[in-house]
Amino acid sequence: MAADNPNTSEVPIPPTDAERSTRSCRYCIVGCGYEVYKWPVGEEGGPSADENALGIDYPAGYGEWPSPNMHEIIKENGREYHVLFKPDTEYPVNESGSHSVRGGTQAQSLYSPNNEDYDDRLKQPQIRIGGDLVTVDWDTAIEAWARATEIATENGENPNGYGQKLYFYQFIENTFAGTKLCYDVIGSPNWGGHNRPALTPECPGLVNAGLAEWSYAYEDAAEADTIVLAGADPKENQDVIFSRWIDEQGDADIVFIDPRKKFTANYAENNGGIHLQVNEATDPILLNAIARHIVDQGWHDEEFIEEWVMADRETIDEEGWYQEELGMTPEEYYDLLDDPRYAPENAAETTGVPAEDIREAAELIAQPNDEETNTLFMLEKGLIWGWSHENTGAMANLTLITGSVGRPGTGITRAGGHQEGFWTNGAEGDVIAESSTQTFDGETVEGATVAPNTVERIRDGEISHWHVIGNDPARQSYATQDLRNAMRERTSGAQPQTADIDEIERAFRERIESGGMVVTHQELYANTTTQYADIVLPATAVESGEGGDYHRWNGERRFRQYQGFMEGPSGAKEDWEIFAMMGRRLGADDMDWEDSREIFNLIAEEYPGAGGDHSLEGIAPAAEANDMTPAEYMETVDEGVQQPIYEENGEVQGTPRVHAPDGEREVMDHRFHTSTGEAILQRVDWDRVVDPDDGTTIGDVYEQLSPGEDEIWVTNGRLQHLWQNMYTHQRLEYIQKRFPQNILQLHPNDAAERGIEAGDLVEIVNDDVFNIHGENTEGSFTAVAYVVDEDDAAQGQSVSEGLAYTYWLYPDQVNNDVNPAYLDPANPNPGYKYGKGRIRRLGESEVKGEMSFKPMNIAPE
Amino acid sequence: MNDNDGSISRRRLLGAVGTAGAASVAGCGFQAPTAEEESPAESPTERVARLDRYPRILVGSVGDLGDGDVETFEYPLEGTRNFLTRIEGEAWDGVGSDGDIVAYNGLCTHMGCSVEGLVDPGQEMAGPCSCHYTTFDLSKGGMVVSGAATTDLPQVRLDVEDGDIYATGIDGLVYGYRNNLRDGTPIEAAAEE
Repeated sequence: MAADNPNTSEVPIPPTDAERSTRSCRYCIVGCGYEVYKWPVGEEGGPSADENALGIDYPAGYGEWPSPNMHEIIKENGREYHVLFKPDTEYPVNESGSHSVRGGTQAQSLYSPNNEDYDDRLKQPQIRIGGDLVTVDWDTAIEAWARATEIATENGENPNGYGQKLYFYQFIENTFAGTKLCYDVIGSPNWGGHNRPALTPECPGLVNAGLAEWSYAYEDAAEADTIVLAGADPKENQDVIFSRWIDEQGDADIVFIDPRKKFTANYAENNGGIHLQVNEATDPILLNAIARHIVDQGWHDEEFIEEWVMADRETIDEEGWYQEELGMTPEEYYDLLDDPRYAPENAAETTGVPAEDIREAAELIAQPNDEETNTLFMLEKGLIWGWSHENTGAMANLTLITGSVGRPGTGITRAGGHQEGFWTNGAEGDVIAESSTQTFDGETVEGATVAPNTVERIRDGEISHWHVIGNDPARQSYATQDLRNAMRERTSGAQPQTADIDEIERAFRERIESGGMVVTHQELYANTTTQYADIVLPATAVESGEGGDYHRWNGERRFRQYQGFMEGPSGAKEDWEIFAMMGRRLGADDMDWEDSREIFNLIAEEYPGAGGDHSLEGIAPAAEANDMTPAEYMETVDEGVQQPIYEENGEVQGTPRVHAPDGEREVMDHRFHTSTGEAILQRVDWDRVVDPDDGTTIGDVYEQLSPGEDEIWVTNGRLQHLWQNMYTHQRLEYIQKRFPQNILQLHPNDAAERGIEAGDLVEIVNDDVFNIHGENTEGSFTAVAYVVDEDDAAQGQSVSEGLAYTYWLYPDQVNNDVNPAYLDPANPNPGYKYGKGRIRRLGESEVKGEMSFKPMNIAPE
Repeated sequence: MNDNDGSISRRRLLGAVGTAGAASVAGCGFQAPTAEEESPAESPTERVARLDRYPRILVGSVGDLGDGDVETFEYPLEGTRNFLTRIEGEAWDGVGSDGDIVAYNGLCTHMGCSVEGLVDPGQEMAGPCSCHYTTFDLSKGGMVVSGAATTDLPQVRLDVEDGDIYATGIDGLVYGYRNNLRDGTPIEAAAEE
């Protein structure tokens, strides 16, 4: 019952001379500030403010307390150090010490013999020899990687033979080096991010409307009159946005759009807002119905639309093939909304949301009685990983017709994910244009080149050397059971029998020439993908504070430095260094970097992304004015600075929000990111044809995805305690005991029908996993039934009948195995959310007596 | 409305947390361990560097604790407020003939607000805390059901003798403390060895 820290009964106090460094949390996009105190074991401060580095009197007050899970003892060079990893009460994001359970337990995942994950960290390079991974030296491992690449690319003649699956998140130093290796050194277009198979925008309906995905300032959540949360739940995955900015500082009415009646649904309803409990996968119809009612009532902002929304069809067509296919003039848009399908009464039939609730939501959003609309639109994976274009485009449209953007208390933004640090040298555009083997055919556009879906390139054999860094595609893609079958088959050929490099080359060549594949996995911990890997490269966990200093930004584009404070495993290397070794081996003469700071300086000086939403262009001039390097200068920017970053009077200046009205600083030369500066409405059409060959529409796909007899929807998302594939949390006792296995939330009627009760282990089977690329496949996973009796469901059941919910990426119990291969052909993002399956009881789980099955949706009344 | 919200709206309550500091917070949910009040700086001799071990202290009676009752007591230091209750079903480390009597510290382990007035013995839960809405499962050692707290709600170890309920220790660190037995004044109760 106690926390897993060895010092649970006592947390030591840092002495006044403890070493202090600052950074942001390793996890989510909110980017809360943390401070780290490090001092030798054996020394301790006192309980008075003047006796300790924290400057607090014990007992600690509100938000000041270093809890046991914020403390750890690490060991370096034979000496033990205390580390306190606690919220920074001075940082503007989380002033007062707000934190999530994830951020507040980061100390427990530091590399330390006291932590459970110590033994699990990858510590030495390995190569699979005779079936098992064998420790080798770095030179052998890098040479093996290089030879696999040379074979796969035919010595550079066929760059597409190499595929890279990197992270979009992490730090700019590492993504810059990784993408340079793929696009610039090797010249392959086959690059995928950690969460999707291609270099695509996550919110195509925003980006192609001329809107930024991250355009607001956190204070807008506090100043808005209405906040629309669609497929997004900050309480679950952006705790401090919810607790500090929406709840503590703000007073908005919330329109919560989600198939589940979860905490935030009840919170919205208890506080003047509304929950629209939408049927799974019907969001475009609901959002269009809201828009239609706004237009019907004349609540739309005609003046804004006249000035800021593109109305000329030809100009839209010239904007690009995407806009030509899916952009609309206001008139075309109003005509589309006139489709009887979007009348509130008809939409209610499909979406399950009563017509009066649709009208009420429209009024809350448009605020017809106010002079101007102050609504903030927030969306995340519930929309993004579905009808990728339609869901995100519908939110863009609502923003534009209400003119609620660019002013305090307004805007549109994503509301989840990692902190971001994706940076390139710009080579990707030409490489994709020249070498992508994937095109898009729509209703009006034909043969448009798009970024390749690398997961399909694994299945179809184009990629022969798959270099996976910091993610687990064997579990983290769509229809993953089928993907693993392909990976197993393609890696099952010849294997090296010794670590002799020529023997390794022989085996790799034989396998690749037989249609097989070599997998390199560069990671912190082994995961499912490692089971298929030939070359395993241990990385330094720079996001936890190991290694050098790094930079990235948060959800209001607040860019800052993360100062390294400890060493990782001595045999591991920072990702940029591994990429540099690889690049140099393949002949690159400009990857001879000394440390992460040198890469940052290069980016700031030569690739600052001038003019973009995330421009860093002010850093190098400000650094020069202060006679510092860019990295040294960023060390002095304690509170970070919001991108785009400018220089004024020798210091950096930030930009609070993108899409600001005339008279304020414009980003990318225009208020909206199009050639004219006018935004473009997006076609959100249930009848859109997504397969011109057979005329299949979105509505047709919906019918195919929908549960058949004996099946129910199986959707997925976050649980507050868990981060991503739980690479840290599966090894953290405090987190594990809350969710020792994956859960499947079931309505008690669905459970009773199948003889299931809380704590039973169930199997979810989908023998008809939709595949837009070909034959449907099969998949299954297991989870523990989480069923709340009607008597205990004080504020209602989280899931309605016919819907089950599960955590999205629990190791070894992964719902992606049943999730469809539906990817929008114009922008191949997967529809991970739209799973279905039959549920059957396997037996009583081993954790039935250990888990809490109390309702998780109790909100203050 | 939460018990300890009173007539103060949620917005006002939390607005105070964000802007006015601990002084205004103390009156509306946040119960700081108030070292200054309990142990004035001018009388430091009242504080102890460290209690050697947890005392055994009478905190209630099985016969007097009815279904749904929630009683409070200080332990092991003055100002360390805990609650004693009888929940619906059996609890981990519960005492009494049905194992349904439990006691927990009253401060949410997230940021130190009080959950004392938010105990629902029927639901076997404490919370949602009025500050950031963490809920705790009182049948399972104070495990967090939902919310951001980074440790369980500390559970007070209980012992029953002749119908009397004694506190004998605490599992887990109480909010604000570096050690449950340090930096405060020991409770002056009828301690029994």
